[in-house]
Amino acid sequence: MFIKIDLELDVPIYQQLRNSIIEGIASKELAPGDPLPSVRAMAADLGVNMHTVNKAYQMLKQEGFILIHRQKGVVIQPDQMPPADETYLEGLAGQLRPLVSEAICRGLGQKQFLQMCEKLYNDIQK
Amino acid sequence: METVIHLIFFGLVGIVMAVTPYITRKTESFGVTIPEEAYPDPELKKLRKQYAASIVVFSIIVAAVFITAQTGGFLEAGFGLAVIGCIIGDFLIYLFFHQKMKKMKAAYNWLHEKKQTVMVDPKFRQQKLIFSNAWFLIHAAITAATFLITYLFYDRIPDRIVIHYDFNGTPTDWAEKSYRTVFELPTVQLFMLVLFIWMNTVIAKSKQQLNANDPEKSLRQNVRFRRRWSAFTMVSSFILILMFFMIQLSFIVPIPVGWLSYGGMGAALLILFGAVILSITTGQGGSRIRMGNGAVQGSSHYDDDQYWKLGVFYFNRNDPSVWVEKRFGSGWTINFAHPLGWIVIGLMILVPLLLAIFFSS
Repeated sequence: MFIKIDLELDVPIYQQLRNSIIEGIASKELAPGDPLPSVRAMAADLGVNMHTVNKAYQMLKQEGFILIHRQKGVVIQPDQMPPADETYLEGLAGQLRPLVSEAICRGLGQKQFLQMCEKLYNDIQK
Repeated sequence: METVIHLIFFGLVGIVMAVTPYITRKTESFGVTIPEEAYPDPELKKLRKQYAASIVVFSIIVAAVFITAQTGGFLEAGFGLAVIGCIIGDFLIYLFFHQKMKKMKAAYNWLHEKKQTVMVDPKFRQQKLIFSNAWFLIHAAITAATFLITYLFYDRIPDRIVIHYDFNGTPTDWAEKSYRTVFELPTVQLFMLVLFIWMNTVIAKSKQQLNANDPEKSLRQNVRFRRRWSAFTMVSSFILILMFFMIQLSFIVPIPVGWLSYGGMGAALLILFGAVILSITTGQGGSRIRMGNGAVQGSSHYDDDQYWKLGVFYFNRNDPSVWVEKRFGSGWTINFAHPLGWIVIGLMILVPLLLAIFFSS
């Protein structure tokens, strides 16, 4: 699995890193309990500031996708992945709302939009 | 004999410098980032040829001047000067081509619409990247044996020990025997052991640098690249440490001087040739190792020219890496913006200096 960071994108690097790791977990390329590189090693390989990687790791830790041990280092959540609870659904609706609005404005039908979602689900989970 | 050795040295240095643009990654040319597709461009090919020819001609001139000077009489200093002249001259030739390449890149407007992408495999460091440092136990055992025989057979070491031979095996310099003088060689040997263990560790720890266009292939190449240089470090350090042991042993039991001097020269040449051949067959970052292509990821690249001063000195404050792949050459260089990089350089100068002062006073 490769983490791909685009340095010219408007999306901040820590956000891209977080997204890549979550996608890695979703596609099962990163299995529960798998180790991740330390903040220092990840930052060195990416050639970015350590704060950037730390920010991504802290976000992932708070969301429950990874654990940061003092001795064992950083590992993918070995037990229960964070559930799709009330708060998550609220946030998801909030994030989707502008995307759906833009799709409507551009004349993208509901069916096409849902098809795209379905395709993404299949691509990531295959 | 001495002249032959010197000529071989000039020849090897000339070869290493001349082939350098051919062993770098295909995404670099004279310290400038280029698109991989541009590497076989006829103009770039011409540039590489011109560079190689310049280096060869320059090396021949230096060697010729050196030999003329040598027949004139000033021997020892002559070689040192020739080496310094070689380094400066080769660097100036490189700089000329670096500037030319930079202008060319600006003129072609390459990499303009391409994405700036970095690729990282989070599981990279879980693979076997180097041969275990445990192998150095063998080297450590030889070093320990050197210390031990020196201590145990101190009485058998002659009162005056030879510390320098000329190329014909005739002793040219002696030192009075004392605990300090006899332990000089084992101490240097120990320092070398530490240095090699640390080099092997650096090979594992250096930055992961993948080609964003074909990360799978470059990942496999890079693993092989690290393992090969790790193996080379193991073997060459073994030869050197064994040589030191043999020299020390020769103070205690008679070993024909010829064996030592030819053995020593043979070992040095073997290591040098090995390094040249390994550089050429492996290529920087493993780029010359043949391998099937992975899934090509489309057009992206990573242009960090702004952090490479003169194309060879890496200076990037945002990068926590200390060791990165050289751009023009084979192997690794330091990030000059990292304080640890400067500590490394300081130690490399300071420790040998302290050793020299301690043993000469």
